[in-house]
Amino acid sequence: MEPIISVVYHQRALQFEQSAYDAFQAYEKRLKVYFEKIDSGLEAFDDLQYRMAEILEAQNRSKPITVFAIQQLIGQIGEPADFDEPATMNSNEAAEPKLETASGSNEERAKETKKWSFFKSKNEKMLGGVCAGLAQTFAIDPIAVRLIFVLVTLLQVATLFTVNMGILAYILLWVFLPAKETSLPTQRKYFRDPQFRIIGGVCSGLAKLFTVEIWMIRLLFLAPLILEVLWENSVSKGVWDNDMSFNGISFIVYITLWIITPLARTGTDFMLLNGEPINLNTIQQVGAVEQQNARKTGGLTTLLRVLAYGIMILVGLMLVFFVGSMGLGMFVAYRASDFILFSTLNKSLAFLVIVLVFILPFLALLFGIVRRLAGYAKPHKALRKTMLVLHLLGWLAAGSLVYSLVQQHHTVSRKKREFAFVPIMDTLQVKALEKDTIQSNDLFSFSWNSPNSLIQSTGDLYKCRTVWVNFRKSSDSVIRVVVTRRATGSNEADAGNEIDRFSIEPMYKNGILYLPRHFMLNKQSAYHFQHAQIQVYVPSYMAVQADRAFRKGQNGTFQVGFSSSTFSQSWIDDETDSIIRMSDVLERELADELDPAASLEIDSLRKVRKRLKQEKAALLDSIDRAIDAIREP
Amino acid sequence: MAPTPNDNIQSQMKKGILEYCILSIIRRGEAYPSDIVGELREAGMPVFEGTLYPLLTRLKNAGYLEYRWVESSNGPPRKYFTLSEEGQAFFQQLKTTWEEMAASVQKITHQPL
Repeated sequence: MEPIISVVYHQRALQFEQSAYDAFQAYEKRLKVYFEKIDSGLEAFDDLQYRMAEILEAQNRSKPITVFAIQQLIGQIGEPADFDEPATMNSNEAAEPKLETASGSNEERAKETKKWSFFKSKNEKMLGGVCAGLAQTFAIDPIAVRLIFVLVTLLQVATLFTVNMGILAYILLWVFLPAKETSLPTQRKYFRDPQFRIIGGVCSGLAKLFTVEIWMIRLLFLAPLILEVLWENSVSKGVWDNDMSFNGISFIVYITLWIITPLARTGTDFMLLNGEPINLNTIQQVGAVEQQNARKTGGLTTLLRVLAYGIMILVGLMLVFFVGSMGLGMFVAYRASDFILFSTLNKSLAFLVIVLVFILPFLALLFGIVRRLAGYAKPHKALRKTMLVLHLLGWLAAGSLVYSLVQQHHTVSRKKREFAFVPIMDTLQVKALEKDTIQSNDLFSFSWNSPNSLIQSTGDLYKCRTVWVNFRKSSDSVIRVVVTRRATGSNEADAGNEIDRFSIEPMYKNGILYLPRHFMLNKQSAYHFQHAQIQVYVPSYMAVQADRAFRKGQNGTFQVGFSSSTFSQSWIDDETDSIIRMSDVLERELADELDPAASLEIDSLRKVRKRLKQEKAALLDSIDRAIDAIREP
Repeated sequence: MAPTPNDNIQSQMKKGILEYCILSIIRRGEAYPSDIVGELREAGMPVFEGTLYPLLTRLKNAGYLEYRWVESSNGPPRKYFTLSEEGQAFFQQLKTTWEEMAASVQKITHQPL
């Protein structure tokens, strides 16, 4: 069996037997030598090739083309020697251009060689053939001209001009340009390439068009997006106040190209895409298309390459920076969250998660880029598998860690305790219970462990500033302080134990309310989100003066509508129960200082004072109302 | 297959009238080159397609012929030729010339010996 050769010849796919193909090539060469010599010969030759393709295809229906079929073809078309006459006729014409035929043809040729003759295309059109005609005039791809028109039109739409110049120009050109046949382009023509497509084949088509690798084009399309994401996340957050909209542009370009360009379907399309002139001299075996993509160095190609590699390097550097800072951040977070992880198992799991889930993919990416730049085309399969398995293990570790942590912090429990203090002054001063005696150790100078951070690691203890204070106005005559402590645990009892690891004790002495700003936890167990909320109900007639520690903006404190020394005007009214409960703290305080009789007397006097105060407030209130009533009839 | 002097004279004669014949075939309606060849063959004036194509191209370039692409049921579209207005005029010229010449030739060749 003879080897079969598949070729695309003038838009037709043909299968030749080897010998037939050789014979055909030889024949075509003879024809070409002949046609090159005669007037308008190459145009005629092109038509003839077209015809031969047609004849051969008819013979190619069921079996490959044989030598016999080629002989038949030659019998039909003839050998150059058989139609030698026109050649002599041609030389006659050249010698004496008396024939009208010859003079007409000269005129035509003169017209054709004249520069910048504008026309629209008769045969190659999407709308009116204007773009294809212009493309022919300037010897560029019609796609380029179409793109310019589309862009001009879109820009016009964007600027809201009343008359759209793009459309107007097109219509004018359509009307006024003469129509003319444009030759099928012998240069590269842009198609979307279905062979290597991911979305629309736009990138793969462009890659073929410019003879660069597909990833370069894809990178150029993705570059604005990647750069923006990386830039925003790693390099300078906030520098780009205005949103970069390049990714929008590449999106628009992609969609535009997708819509206006056809998908390469036939062998001819592919040949045009690959820049193979369609004639027999460059006839190519379809299977060998890839060999055609050998690197070429056109101006645009070089530019694209340089651009692609430049962006690649930039992205690489940013990625390294990104990975570096992220890895570092993760490890800091890892050290910082030590008190949450606590157990060796959890710590190990977290470590695995950081390395395998987060750092490994970036390393793999970097490695891949380096390999790619070094010219390895194929991925390292074993390495890739290993990395994938490790990555999956990382996710497994993440799952286990999450499970373990959820178990550990399954239940949230709270313990509420109420303290009541009888006010001895009209102004309530609030101060921090303790001065910050424990300095943060300098083990980590990162913000998580700075004096301002919520949890600080200090020797054998954690200093937790998770204490929130809230002031509310109340109709009570006593200062009530409600302390709610919360913690998580695997169950109710466990959470309760975790709560009992710390206590919050407010104190009222000499008219000053001392509230704790933090509490200490020993390091015997993991942090179970121990935190406390202190709700202070202040009698409505009292003014409040708070320590700096309780001002807005200070850590560990939280106030609503609280400003400088007094906040009585801006308080939110709160419904409070009128039951006054004396706390053991108050009782103890009284018992320590006075004998029961004196304390009782003081108590009754205070009650009188309180009543008088209330009456006074009511009186003042009624006077104010009376004044208001007089002012507004 | 070098042309003998005989062949050459005959082919010269044939060549002279070939364009006239082609134009008259196309004048009847849009024609595809292979149809033209077929008709010429049937009429007893066989012509290679290799001869026809350069002729058609030249006539087209001289403005006598126009063509358009016609979709074909199998494969890419085909070029079909029609006569332009100039072509019509040229055809009339050729026709007159031919008829006069034929009459003359007739006259000359049919003179009794």
